[in-house]
Amino acid sequence: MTSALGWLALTLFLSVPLARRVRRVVAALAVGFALTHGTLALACAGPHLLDHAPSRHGALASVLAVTLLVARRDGPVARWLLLAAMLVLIGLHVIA
Amino acid sequence: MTARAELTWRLGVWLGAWALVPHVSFTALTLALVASTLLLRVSEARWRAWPANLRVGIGAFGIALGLATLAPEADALGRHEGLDGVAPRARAAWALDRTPSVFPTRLVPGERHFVLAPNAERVALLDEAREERTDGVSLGHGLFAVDAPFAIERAVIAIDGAPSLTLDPRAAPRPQIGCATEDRAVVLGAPRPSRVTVVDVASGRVRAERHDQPIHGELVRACVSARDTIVWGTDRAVLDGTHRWDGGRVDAMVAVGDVIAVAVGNVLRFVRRADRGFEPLLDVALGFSPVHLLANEEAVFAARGRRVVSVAIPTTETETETETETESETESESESESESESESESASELRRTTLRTTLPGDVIAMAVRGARLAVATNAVDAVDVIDEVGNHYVEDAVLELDARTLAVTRAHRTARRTRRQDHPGAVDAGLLPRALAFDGEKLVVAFAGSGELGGLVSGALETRRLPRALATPTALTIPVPGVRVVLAEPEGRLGIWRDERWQTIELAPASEGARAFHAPTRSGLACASCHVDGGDATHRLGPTHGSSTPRAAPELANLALTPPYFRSAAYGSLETLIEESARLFGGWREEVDARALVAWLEGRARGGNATVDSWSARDGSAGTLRSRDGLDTSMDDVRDGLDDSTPSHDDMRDGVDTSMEPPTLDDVRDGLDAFVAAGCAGCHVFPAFTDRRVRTGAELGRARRGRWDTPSLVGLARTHERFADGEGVHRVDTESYERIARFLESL
Repeated sequence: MTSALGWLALTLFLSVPLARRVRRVVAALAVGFALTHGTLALACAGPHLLDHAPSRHGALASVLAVTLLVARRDGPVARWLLLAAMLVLIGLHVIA
Repeated sequence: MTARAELTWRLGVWLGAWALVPHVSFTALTLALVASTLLLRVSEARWRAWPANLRVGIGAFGIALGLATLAPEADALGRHEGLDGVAPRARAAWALDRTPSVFPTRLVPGERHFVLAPNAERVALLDEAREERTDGVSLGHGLFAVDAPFAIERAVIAIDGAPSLTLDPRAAPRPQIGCATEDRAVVLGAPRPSRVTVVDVASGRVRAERHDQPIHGELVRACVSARDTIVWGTDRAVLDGTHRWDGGRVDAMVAVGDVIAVAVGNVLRFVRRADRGFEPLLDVALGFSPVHLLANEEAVFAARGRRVVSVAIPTTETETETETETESETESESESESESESESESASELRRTTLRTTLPGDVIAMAVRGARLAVATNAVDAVDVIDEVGNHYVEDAVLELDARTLAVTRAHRTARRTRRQDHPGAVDAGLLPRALAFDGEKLVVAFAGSGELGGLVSGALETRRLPRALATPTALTIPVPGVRVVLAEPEGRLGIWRDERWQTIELAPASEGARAFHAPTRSGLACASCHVDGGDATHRLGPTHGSSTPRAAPELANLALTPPYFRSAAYGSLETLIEESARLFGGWREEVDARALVAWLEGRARGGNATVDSWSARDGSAGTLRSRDGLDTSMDDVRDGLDDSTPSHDDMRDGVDTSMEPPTLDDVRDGLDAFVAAGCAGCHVFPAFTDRRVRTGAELGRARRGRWDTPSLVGLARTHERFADGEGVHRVDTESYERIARFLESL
């Protein structure tokens, strides 16, 4: 639950041009959910977390999210490319 | 610069960067994406000054390079990223996670299908070709059981009268040699279940083919040659040209003179063929449904799994006595020969007529001649040494037993290496003994793994290669000394060896998948070494993971809709499982069509333990179902002869019906209530009795770690997988346990 909500919220935050206040709330929720989810996963699986393909996809999606933040001022093509890759990883995280 | 050109440039830089370090994983791809994005941002001022055409060109080159590197590794990439098995999981979810749904989704004649239809009042199976209907029985909780008749090819499940679920057509029938006389051999079931083919052994010509519904509209399941004619066993009766005996569904039959022994479920029924018709002589409760049935002049030998029973053929003198004194029997449950012998001596003093033994391995084929009983198996003493040699230590062997005492007198290990072997530990001859027959004193063995026919005389085995068209022999008969009739089921051919040459007759299309299933790896092991194809035989794997109980190689039916695979759910798809297994055992010896093997495995389905026809006699509400005329009375008669000892754990593991009496409908409904109340249905959800989820040891309350696949329970009663490792996952109280166990008998 935390997983799906967290990533959905983060994706919304990064892609939809919402009002600044709404974006802050969404970002806070996203970070909360994602951190809870990641901590729980890490607690359950320990250092073997990255042996598990879906967990790896989640972690990679996080890396892309950070890159997307850094690359925000790049052209739209770079943003869409990173966003598409992140959505693919989130999709894999859910179905694999 | 247009957006398309920009995309080409960025994609090219990304994939080109990844191609330089072609580590096949999404991690590498993502890191390449991050690195290329950051790199482009840092050097933005510089590359923006380059001509647009140059950037597009570089981008296109990068994309081509990336795709050329990635494409050949796409399968490996998917597997590494856990995408293996997404398609089978999606298929299973589509078929089973909805209502109404049915399991198995493929039609399995003679077996039980479970239909989940919570709001339905009636469920029926419609045979559209013959315009017949078989009503299902409500078990409660929205679950219905419907038993498919034997003679059916296509069916639809109707919910409240409306055709709702179309079952996949039945799998291709499995041909068998029904019987053979000096001049002819009768093959049943190829290429259609209803076909009977009579082959002239002398000329090798097909003498007669009887097409659909040959015997009074009934399906022939067995035949024997008796004196002047052939006696047929159908799904309802035993009959010759003039007379008929409605003794129930014939599973197997054998004749000695005028006496015919017929296996009907768990009962062995003796009947005499006389001028005025069939005269029932005696019924004997076997405690299991025999798969193998044969006879010498004195006794009938029945076997299933590791259990072998010999029953003396009733004579006019002993007949009355055995009926009034009830059946008695000798248990010789050990591998100890001396014990077996001493028990049989005391048995003869007490005029006992039934002997039982449990062999170290499962019975795959049997032959008898006089006092020599030969058994093909895949274990001699593996259970004792399994800790040292590992899980997949298969010992292809032929055991010789004394037919009078059932004591093992000799064990011939057949698997061996020839000079052709080219790999350390490779074994390439004497693999998969699958059929036996005596030719005088010589015991002839057909090897399905190595494609040989061997002669065993005084412990020495001489083998000879079979022609490629008969490379996977699954049945063998010797109608006349010197003549061999071999059935190669995967090749769909019958071969006759006569006058030093083979003549082959095509019966059905060849199955590459079945052939691959028997194809050996370099280690000498094939899939069929452990997962014995047909006959409910299997191989016992050693105790592992700290458990003290040997486990059985699991049943390979219903795989298509029950991913993931392996107990630990380590494999998402059959392709991966097969590839990894073959690699583990040194690779295939000859090229194998793995895709055909997967397709063949996915086509194998198995239903529940169909006992509904016995429900009809016990429960009026199921009166619309077919009944076994005449059987129920005699079952009451023989119930006294039951082995009333508590079934041992070993019996449970053998997975065959340990009790004579099948569960009644009330038992099943009550058991299902207990099953649901105990929470079993939370994981083993209807109709497949699995939710296909993987659970951790912690979720299951086990001390052990690891991941555990939730197995389907359908087919449980007749397979060896009673509990995954000899212990129940759930702890339930004793009363519920009994009720649930009764219910499981019906699965």
